[in-house]
Amino acid sequence: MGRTTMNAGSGVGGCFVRNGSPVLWLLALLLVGLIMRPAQAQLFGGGGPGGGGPTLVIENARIITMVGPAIERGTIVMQGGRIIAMGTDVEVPRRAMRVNAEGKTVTPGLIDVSGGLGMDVEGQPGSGALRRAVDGFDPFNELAFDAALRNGVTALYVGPRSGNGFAGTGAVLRLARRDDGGRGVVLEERFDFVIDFTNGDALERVEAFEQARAMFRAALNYRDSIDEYEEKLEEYKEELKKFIEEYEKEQAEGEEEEPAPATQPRGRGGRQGQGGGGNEEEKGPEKPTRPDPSREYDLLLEVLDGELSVRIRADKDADILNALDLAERMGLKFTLEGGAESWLVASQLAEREFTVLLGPTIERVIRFDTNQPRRHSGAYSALRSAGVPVLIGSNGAASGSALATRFVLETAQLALQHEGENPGMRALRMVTVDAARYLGISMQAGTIRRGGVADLVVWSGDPTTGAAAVEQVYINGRPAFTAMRRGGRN
Amino acid sequence: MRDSMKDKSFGAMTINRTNRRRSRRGAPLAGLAAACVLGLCSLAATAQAQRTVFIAGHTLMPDGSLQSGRAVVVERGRIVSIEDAEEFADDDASVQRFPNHVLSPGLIELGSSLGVRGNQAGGTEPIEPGLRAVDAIDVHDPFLRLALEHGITAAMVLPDASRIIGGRAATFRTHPGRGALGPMPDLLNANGPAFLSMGPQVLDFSYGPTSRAGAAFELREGLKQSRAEGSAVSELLPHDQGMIALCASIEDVDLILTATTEAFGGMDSNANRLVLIYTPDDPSLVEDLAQEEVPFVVGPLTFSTPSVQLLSVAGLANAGATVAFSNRTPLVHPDWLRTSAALSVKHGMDPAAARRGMTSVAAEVAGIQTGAIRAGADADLVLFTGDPLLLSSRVDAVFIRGERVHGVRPSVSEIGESEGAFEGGAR
Repeated sequence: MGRTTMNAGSGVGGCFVRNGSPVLWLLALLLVGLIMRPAQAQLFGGGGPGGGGPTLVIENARIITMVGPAIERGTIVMQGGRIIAMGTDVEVPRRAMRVNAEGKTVTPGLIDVSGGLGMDVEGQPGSGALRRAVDGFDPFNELAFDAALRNGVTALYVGPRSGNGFAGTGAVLRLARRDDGGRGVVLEERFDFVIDFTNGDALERVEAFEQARAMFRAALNYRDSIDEYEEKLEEYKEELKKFIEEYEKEQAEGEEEEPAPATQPRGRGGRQGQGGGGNEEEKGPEKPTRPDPSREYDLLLEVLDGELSVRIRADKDADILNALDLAERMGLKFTLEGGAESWLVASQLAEREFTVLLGPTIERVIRFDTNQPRRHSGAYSALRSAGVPVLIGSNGAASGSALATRFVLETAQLALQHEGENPGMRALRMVTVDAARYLGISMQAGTIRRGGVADLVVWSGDPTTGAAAVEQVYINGRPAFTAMRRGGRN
Repeated sequence: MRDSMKDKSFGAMTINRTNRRRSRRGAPLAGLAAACVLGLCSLAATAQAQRTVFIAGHTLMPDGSLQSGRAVVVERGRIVSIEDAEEFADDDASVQRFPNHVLSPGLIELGSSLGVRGNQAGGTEPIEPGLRAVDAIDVHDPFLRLALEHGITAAMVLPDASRIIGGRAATFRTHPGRGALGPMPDLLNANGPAFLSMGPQVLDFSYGPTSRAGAAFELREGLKQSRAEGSAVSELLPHDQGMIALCASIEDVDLILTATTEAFGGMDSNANRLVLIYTPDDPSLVEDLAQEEVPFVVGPLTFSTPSVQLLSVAGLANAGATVAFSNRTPLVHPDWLRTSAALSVKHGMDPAAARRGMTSVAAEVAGIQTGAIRAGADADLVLFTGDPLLLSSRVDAVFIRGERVHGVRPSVSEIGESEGAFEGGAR
């Protein structure tokens, strides 16, 4: 623990801290104070919320809190991983490290509701209901974390890699340092069971749909057979009880007449011996056989019972309709991920009130291939006007583009082009507070508020009215990324 | 070759178009066409005798900044002055107000294959200086409209990248012009920069060169021929609009720089003018690249572009190099042109430089007179719902020579502020 909590930074700073001498500590603080380079604060490293540590203050910033109007020239005081004070009239603690963010804008860290970051080690796409993204997530994929952090992304849903049919269960993570030195603190180990209809040609996808249906049916049959078994088991117990009672009665009667051998009733291998004659060997009731346990069926039943939410990946209209059909037959509720052609079936989606986690709305490359989903820049607006709840995500896991998460804000901006008022702010809202609400992590991410977790992005300008560079990212109130100036390596 | 075709003055459009017609149909028909064009022009001129004034919430200025309170005065399809909107008074002018919009010059796409189908090579020779991209343009390409509706008003097409010395680039408006016989390319520069390529496409095992060394040899030999009287290359080079060269790697950049300096180093600035189509991918080299003082055409930069490339582009611009964006429309959706610029800003490029990279700097590269809102430039304008660098901004209207060619017409009443629709408009 000593290493991991102290040594998230590197180099000189790391040495100072490891030595643990108070004098060196002071020296280190002094150094930071003199240089005022927030990057240096990395030497204080890890530590989760409540971990103490230095006090960091961002001053003179425009703060877009997502819970109220923006604060002009505001101050944020961060300590112990949390925001301990915020506003325009805030007393800055003594010995705090102050960062002047004049002309900068501060927003909450961005959140991707459909990412695949850090999943590179999982290997080839395949299928399997039991796969869990949290197991495939690589906490030491620094390249991926750098890409995400330098673009302001601090938390995300990580989906299992693409694979037709049951793809596995996703997870929700914050890109904070973990105790083992890696990144990716798990907020929700199991979130959204993924059924994927985005791979292969149209017939393969239909096959995947049929297979999924068959598997759900098999799971239900499995449950029926378990129920049947349990019923029979009860019957068996009753019968066994009766059998024993009768046996004991017989024994008691026999004892009065003649001594009997001291045997236990045997329950196996025989018919129930109700009408048995006195001299025949007594046979107990037949014990029912328990069906083989199946973790996969148990999981699917959890899904069917609504205990584990479902996310269906589908892009083509026909696949989305199939997904709706599957939901209808199985009594499922699901969230649609990707949904490139969801705008074509907006009314059908609206009927069921399922949420769409819309992926990129414009083609990267225009193709003339009918298997290629028809994306539309007006997809978001079409869905909204039909009454479908929509969020925007990178669609990184489904598209096999693990790094797509880094541009989740831009994906949202492009999707909102046809929205009237202040689409820039709505795009930011969608990938912060709205995304956090969907992922059930509103307490840990998505807003800037007093007492909240200090995951912040400092932008060179206002990302809701123009393009801006990410200058700094704070996670747990510590610098997790600092941009270098002027074409330097970083 | 120093005839009117190479004229970069404002008459270039008409003159070039006339020449193009003449080359195909012969002089009499061309004369007729020219007369028709002129007739149409004068007709249009009388129709819009009054001035049109665009007053938008913000105006994208030639320096790339967004400024409020500007009145852009347009007369006969050309911007005649930029005034202070508050002090501006002209009772005869038709004033169009768009208080919630950003008025931008039309975006210019430098790497397109818009209006061009298939490969644009002439045969199998690596050196084909006689090719003219202008001859490949098809105004009926539906993607031209797609580009226009996304704010791209001009596109440069290059000869095929498989030619080491491949003829002249051409730039035309995405909105077709009108000729006597229907729509025809509205050319902005038919005789654009000479195209050199060291892209991977030049290597071809069926007809050579088969190696990079072979390609380098062909390039040097080809450039040498520019001094030989009567050779095919001497018809193209030295070119008074300079050269534009495609490079796949930093080694190609080095080769092109060396070879062209060897060939044209001592000549006047235009002949030795060079633009590099190259997206750097090593942030540690951008300072050196910037010192070469050549403009760079980069892109398309998309969501799958590695961070090092995005950082290198931003670094290159910040180190002082001139950077323009290109997009390969329509192979790549036209909105990725703005995305290229936006992602560069996100990785540290100055926003004003990024806006110039889609407009005025791109115009300089293409050798055309649009791309900036300044007196004397053609009024090819785009009305965005916000900063073009903000990807949630969209195009609400496009004007070519001051005439609306795309967008909802402003209505006198009814349209309020709520829907982000047009404000103001007809008086």
